[in-house]
Amino acid sequence: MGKRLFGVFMLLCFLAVLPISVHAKEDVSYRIIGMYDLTGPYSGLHQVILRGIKDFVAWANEEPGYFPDGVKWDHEIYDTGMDMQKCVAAYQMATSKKPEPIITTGGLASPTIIAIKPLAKRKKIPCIDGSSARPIVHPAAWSFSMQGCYEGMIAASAKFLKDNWNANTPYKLIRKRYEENKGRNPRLGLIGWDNAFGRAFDQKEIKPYLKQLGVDWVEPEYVPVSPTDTTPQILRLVKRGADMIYFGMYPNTHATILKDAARVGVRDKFQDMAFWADNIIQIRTYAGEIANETMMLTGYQPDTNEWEPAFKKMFEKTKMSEDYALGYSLAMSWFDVYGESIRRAVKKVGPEKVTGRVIYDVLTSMTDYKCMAYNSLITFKKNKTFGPSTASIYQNQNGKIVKIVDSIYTPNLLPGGEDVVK
Amino acid sequence: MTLFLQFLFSGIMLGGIYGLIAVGIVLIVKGTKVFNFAHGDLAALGAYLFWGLLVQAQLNIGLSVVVMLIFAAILAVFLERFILRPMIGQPLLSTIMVTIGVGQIFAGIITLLWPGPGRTFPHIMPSGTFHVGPIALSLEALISFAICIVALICFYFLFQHTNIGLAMRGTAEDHQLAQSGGIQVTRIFAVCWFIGIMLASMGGILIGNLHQVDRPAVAHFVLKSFAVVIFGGLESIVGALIAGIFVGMLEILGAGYLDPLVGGGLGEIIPFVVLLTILLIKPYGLFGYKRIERV
Amino acid sequence: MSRRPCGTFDVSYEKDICVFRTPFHWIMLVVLLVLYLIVFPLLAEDGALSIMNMLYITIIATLGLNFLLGYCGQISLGHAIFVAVGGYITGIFMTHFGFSWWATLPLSLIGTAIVGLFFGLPSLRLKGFYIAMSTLASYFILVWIIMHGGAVTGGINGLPIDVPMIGSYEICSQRQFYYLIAAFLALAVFVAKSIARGRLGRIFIAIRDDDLAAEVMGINVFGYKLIAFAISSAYAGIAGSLFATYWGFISFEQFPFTDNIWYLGYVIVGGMGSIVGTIFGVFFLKLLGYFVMIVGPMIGSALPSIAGSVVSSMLLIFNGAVIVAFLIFEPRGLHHRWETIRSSMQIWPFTY
Repeated sequence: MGKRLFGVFMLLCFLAVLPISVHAKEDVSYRIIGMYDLTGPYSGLHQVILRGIKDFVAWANEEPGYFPDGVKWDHEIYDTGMDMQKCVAAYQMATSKKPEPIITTGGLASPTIIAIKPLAKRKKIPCIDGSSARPIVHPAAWSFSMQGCYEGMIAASAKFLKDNWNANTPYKLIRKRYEENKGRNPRLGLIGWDNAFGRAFDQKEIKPYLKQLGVDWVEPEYVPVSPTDTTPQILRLVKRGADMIYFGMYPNTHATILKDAARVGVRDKFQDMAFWADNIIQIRTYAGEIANETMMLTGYQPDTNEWEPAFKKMFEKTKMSEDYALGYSLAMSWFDVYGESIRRAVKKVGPEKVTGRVIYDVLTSMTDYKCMAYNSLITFKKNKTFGPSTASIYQNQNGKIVKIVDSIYTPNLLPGGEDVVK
Repeated sequence: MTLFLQFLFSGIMLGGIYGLIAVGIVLIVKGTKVFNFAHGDLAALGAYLFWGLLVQAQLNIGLSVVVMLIFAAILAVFLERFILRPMIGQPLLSTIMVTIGVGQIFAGIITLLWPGPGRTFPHIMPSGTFHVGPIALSLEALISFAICIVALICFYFLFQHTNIGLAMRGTAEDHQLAQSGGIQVTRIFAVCWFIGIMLASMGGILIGNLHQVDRPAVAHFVLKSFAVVIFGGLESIVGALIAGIFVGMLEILGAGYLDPLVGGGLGEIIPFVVLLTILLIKPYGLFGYKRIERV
Repeated sequence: MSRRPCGTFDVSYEKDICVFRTPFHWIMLVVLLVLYLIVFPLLAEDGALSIMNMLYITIIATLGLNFLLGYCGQISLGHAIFVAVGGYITGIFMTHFGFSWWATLPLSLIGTAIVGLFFGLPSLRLKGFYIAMSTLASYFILVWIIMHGGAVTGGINGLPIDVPMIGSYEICSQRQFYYLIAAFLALAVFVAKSIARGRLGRIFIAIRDDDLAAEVMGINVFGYKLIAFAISSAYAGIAGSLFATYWGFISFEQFPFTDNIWYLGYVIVGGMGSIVGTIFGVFFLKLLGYFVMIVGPMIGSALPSIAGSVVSSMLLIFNGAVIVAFLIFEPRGLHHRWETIRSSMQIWPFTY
């Protein structure tokens, strides 16, 4: 009997697999497709982002004046578990349903966005996401990014280091390095995840740009995504004399490396600079006082006090810890760009005629848009699909997160970009 | 030379934890003939639970350890009774697959109870660095290593010099013979799982304390310690410890000296290269023994 | 309608060993082929087609593993990487040497078989669990080699791969790919069935059931184990080539470690040593995965009071629980269930 019941259960599982979804509609409601990793390796981060997105989508639908009357959006979620196959299948499924979605995300990780890129171009639906890895933004297509270009982030860090390479700099670690190595140029190193994302920073355009700036580039090092011991890598970088090290990774590994550095007694031999979508508050949580001098170059706003008050209230309602503020705000800044493009598209062609094509047109003519919970201004062009050209720098000063640079230029070092040194 | 000693030290410290986890796997293999692929998730679950007891429930360390022991006992009995006893007599592969499924369930439980990114332990052991000559020794790493060694010595004593240890060794030799010799094999299975879970949790907690409590990181660490298990021989407990230290040293030294030559990432695969080499040259490991089979 | 076993009796050995033994079998074959090749692709939309395409490619790869695991009894924890190797061989020859996709197919088949053979070498002295470990090592080592292959493998960026051409006709839409992949699947199943029913299949089964006994009977166990590795990898190679051209690019990140375990899962849940079981296993587990992908967030939005993480973690638990429940309650896999249903249908209305 038990076996028969089990058979029936299996049959039910099969039947339940057939996807059913019902949409009730009154107003014009645009479909936005979101693909997240809710069960896989990045589920921790994506759950937070998704919470922010859900709150923001609901807020925008209710807030009078955010959208023109009679216009709403409908956010459809797929859980891809960071599986590229599932991601593409979800994308195909979502985009073959009518009405056609007008904007999609690419699954919030470089590999899946790269997989979506040709599809987005073929289906004429813009895909906005958070990664500026070179295959995504170059050559420019229908995949847009909310981050500065990766090479530009390194170049901006180098510029910051050069500007502070003197005895009067307020930053303890840089000053210490300067006093020990007065005669030479400052040196910038890179430590990245040993995957497509981490290795995307080291491109050949960086060296000449840094040379022109007067900063030496030392050989980069790579650590595994889930490292067990990073002493060899960090010791080598220190041995090469890197004064500032750019960390191309996420907070858990960043903190691990800092802890390992402290353990072998070299924590005070370099200034660390965190990646754009890293999280300086989480590094503080993980590494404690070891992360006291950490800096982060970003367009996002890790400090809730900088946000619009409505969002701050929304975030407080979720009762999440401050660690998650950046993930939460990241969602809002993206979706605000979506919202702005919908507003512009509605204004341009009327609410009935908005398609992915129209959104693409308004996106590529978007100049210096100040989106919510974001420091940099967003500019997209047909040949520049990453948004921001500036960033701010935050520092953890004895546990307090302080904005130390309001706006620093992040050069466009993609092939053919205006800042590439010939 | 300084760099070499520093690498060597880090490698040995890492190796202690490899050894601890490998012994857990070996014990379960020896006692129950199940190769536990859920070991990584078990280690992570143990670490998360310990974190939860310390930080969320605000218990002190002693009390937390007691709760952990109770938890391990309950989990061991549960696993043995409801998951693995029905699998007795099934092919090796099915039991491996069952442990993979169990691992997924644990992963789900971890995401359910502790969603979001990893957690950090409060200061449960003194931290700090002191210098011996030119190399820096970390107090945390040394204490972790000492804990591993002490745990392994205790366990070795239990295994070699107590009645239950004798019963376990007997069971490892042959289930049917042990059963007819008056040993209740299923109970020994539960004991093996209990000790295995304890060792896994300890490993998870130590990794969690050195870095942070993060499921993918812990699970991957345990995956690499499979290499240690094979290297030491599937049957040997001393072998697992020696192999653990050896693999840890090789990993760090390889990452330290060979990485710049080949473009990085070598540390990750060195345990697996060791594994493949051992399988080709000395397939039953350093201390394992070749079984004679009869048709 | 002449079903077996009542009513039809074979009068020759040829007839007895046929795959399709009665007119009813032939009718079923034609009906299924019509459904499979004509009705489904005409009715389905892109989403369903893309799922099916992935399922079919996975089935081809899993058929290979079924030889190694189900027939020959060697556990492989590195099957996904052989799929990747097949895809990379296609990619390397198309990108660097300008081969057409069709020309790379035999290369990929042979190349992957050789790589598989190499990593099967430890089976000379080892078996069972140790083989699992050596294939596990092969996964990580090959990933590292691919990742550090520089311009040859495209390193971290992978390789872009063109769509296949038939004359000057490009295969690019989901529907066109469906026909291509479905044709390959049919061929793969046919070849698999032929191997399994032939001398080779019998030898594999003998090795699986008892390798010592097989050796005593005069079977060159090591040689045939290597053949099993080669066949298994060759299937993976073909699947990899299809995978690469279907996706338009290949990168090692498409083959995460968990895929290896899923391949094992397909074979075990489907029923080891059964070709129809393999197909069932892939369908069941893959569709379960897609079910989780769609339904999880839907439950999450329908019941906003429950946090999203609860739903997704419950589904993770569900996924694991299904596998465990299967092995405990149905250790012989879906294939066994199918046989029971079929035989009870055949002898209906009698109970035995």
